[in-house]
Amino acid sequence: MLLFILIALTGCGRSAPHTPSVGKPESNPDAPFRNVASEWSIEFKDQPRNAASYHLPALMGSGCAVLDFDRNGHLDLLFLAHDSLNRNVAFFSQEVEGTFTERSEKLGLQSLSGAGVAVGDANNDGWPDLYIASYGPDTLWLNESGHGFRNVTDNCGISNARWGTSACWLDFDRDGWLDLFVTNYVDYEDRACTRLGGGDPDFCTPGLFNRTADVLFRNVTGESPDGALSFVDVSNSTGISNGLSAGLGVTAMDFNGDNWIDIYVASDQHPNLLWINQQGQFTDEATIRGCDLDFQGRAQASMGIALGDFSGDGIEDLVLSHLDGESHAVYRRDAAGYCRDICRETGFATATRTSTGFGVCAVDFDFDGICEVLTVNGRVQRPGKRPLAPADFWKPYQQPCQLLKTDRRDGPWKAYDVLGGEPHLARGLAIGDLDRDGDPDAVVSTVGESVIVLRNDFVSARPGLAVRIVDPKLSGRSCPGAKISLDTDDGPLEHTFQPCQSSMSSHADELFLAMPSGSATLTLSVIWPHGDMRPERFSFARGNDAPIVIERGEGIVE
Amino acid sequence: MAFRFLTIIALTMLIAACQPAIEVPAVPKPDLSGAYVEVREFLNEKRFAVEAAPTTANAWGEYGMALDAHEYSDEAIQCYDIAAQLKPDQLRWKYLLALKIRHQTPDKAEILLAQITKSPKATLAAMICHADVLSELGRDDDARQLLANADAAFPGQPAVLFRQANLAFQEGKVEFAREKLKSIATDFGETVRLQSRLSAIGKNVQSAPSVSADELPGVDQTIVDHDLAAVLNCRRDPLWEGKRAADRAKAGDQLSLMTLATLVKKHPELIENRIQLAFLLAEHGDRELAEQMIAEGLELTPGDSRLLAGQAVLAMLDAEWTVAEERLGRLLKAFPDHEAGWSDLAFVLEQLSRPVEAIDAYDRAVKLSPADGELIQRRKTVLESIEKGRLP
Repeated sequence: MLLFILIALTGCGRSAPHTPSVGKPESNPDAPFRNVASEWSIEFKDQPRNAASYHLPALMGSGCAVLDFDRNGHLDLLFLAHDSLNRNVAFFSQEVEGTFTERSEKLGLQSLSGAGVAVGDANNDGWPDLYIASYGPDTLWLNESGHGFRNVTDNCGISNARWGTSACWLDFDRDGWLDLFVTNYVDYEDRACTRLGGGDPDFCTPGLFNRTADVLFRNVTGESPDGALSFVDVSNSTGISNGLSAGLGVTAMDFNGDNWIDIYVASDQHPNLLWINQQGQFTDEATIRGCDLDFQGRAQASMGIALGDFSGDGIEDLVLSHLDGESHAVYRRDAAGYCRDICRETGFATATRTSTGFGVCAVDFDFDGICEVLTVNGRVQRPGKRPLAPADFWKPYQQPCQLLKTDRRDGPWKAYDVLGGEPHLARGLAIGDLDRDGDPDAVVSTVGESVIVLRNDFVSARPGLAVRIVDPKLSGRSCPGAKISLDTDDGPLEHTFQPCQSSMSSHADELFLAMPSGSATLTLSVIWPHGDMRPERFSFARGNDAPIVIERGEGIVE
Repeated sequence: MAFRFLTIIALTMLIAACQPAIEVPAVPKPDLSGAYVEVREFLNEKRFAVEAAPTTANAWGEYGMALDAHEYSDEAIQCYDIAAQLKPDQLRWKYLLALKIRHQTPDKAEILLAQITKSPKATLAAMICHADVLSELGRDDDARQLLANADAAFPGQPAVLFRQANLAFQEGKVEFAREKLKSIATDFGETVRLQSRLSAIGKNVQSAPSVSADELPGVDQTIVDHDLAAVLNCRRDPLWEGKRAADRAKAGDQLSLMTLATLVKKHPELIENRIQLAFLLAEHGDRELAEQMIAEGLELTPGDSRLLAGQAVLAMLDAEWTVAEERLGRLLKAFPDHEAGWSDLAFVLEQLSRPVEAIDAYDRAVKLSPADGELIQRRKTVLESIEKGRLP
């Protein structure tokens, strides 16, 4: 029973006990990930043009996404770049299990470039579409039934000329159509900086530039007489434009328990924003809810966001990745949605102080019932001199990726270097079960080097499963923002089904849950992000390694 | 004679015994190839002083400050470290060393700060820094005690009171936190934010702080830190020198105007100096030369927003509203999110008696800077004037 409680309380994992199909862990046994990018023919390098002009977007890099664009059950990968010498996009489709083929041109994406990606079904046809946030104008790409993508930006009311970094699909008005929130970074003016004494130039700190307002687009396709895909910029009328951020990460979840999806923005060197949704109107309550600053009342350089329970109380908390010299913040959330930064108590303060984290996720990689936190790192300023060889330009910015682990639900977490401490300049991070062996893997976007694919080689402690949360009445599309409550003896355990986390990236639309110990079934209830707010209960057994699909209307409404 | 000789030997031995036996390493020599010539000369001068007296703490410390002032952090840390070892009772070097290492290695910084705050000579800045580091290390009780000591030594200091309030709040002592905040006479960014949190407790408050915290000064601006000021005094980079010359020129020192002009000639790429000089020339009635300064800058760095904005301001200073409008139009075409540009354009349009267009410009500015109360007030005034029929 105790094991059941432990697993169910934290339950952010999925797995069957499995043996890795290829190879064995080769690095730190505490962080057994293996970079299989070359092995799986996943080759992409964001090699910024004119790196030595120190154009800030080059350093900030771009994100990545894991999605099943053709709904064949195998996950595909999207990588972006801003202005790369090679190319600015790579789309690896997985037509046969384990075989990735680069198909960006065939899919009509060859002109794509950008910083951040959000995957969501804009037109409720069941096929995941792409929103690309960019240093230039953002773009929206409609999925044409798994055969390719079409740029529909000009005709659908989407327009964001600011430096978009991360975007999030959410149904803020609960009308069944996915709306779109885009967080913008700074009002950047192209220039390099030097230390005060002069000398070698380096990238400027974003603190030199003004923050910008974010954008919320309401999806009004359902109100369009001809059903044409249509969005309206409602940033002013909803209150979103009343706040400023230097946003690098965004997520959307019900923060205060009223079943309306709120929006949380990680802001670089400025207070974070929490847009509380008051039935379609938004007010920034980050300050009064205690998730704007660190525990000492200082603004930090917030980059990425991960959701998970880090205090063992069953309520979903937030981790924010930060600059070196700062610690990742761990905002413990109470039932009413008020927060306290517990980075010291959880060990994150010590574990993350010397790294600059961007992409971050909280997933139970080893299925011991407790979330691990994977954080991908890379500096934003060069320590010491610029290397003489141009090929080494990005090396001083590199840092190892880290996995934070603990044996107890409330920590303390300890950091372990991933890939044997190999340094990388990593930015985006997205999660999904790429090899369909039942456990989550990770992809990492980088700058100046090849992307990384981290195959999870943990030996699973318990069985787990992946669930997809869909609405068959909306062509079976995923429902981001759905609130999951797992039954445990200690009460419910919250999860938000939300692919938009991390930084500039989009996770696969799968939620990884650990099976309870000693039980063949898992029971959970779902509060859907649209329509009826009453929870719907589901009970199911674990099958094979494929995700279990939870369909709206197929459970028992409480 | 023999007695005197023995006394000298004894004194020499005593002095030697008092000097910490440290092995002085090589003097750090950063790569200054790209540094400003003024900085290079100054740093070399300080380095030569160390090389001439390698066991002198002050020489090391002052070289450390010179390096620190120009962001040669690694080398500054080495120098402060040696200086602190050579003269352990001189608190400044330990403090400056602690400041440099506190974020990366707070445990090491704490050891240094503890030595300082035990001393009766401990400054407020050092006590606050130590309390912060203790708190970062999870030693809240020690931090609380230290803040209490600081409160006793420097009563009513806002930076101390805020920290006491914040620590109390973190601990769940809400009333104590409220009391501490109440005892701070003026609003600061941090105090307003904490006040908002405290107000929300148990009341389900759903509103942002009534005063925008972003517009208020930070509480740490109330700390007078002579050690950091000494580091700042070591700056020799032309941007800083330009700022100082401009400040002196504004205060009526004509020679400083010459100094600034020389700096612009020597470092034509430093736009801030160029703009300062242009404005000062315009204030002195030499508009033509001021225009020339900006035009030369735009030749060097075409399309720079600061220069474009400066060019518009020059026209505004002389009430040439049409010219200003044209120049602001050029700026905003290149930088559509330039908040000051929209704000200035709104003002210019007001002067041109085009209030409806001014409102549009204010709307753009407010959208970009929604917390700017002054902007909102100016927009409101124009709107009221239109409604009352005072303006077309």
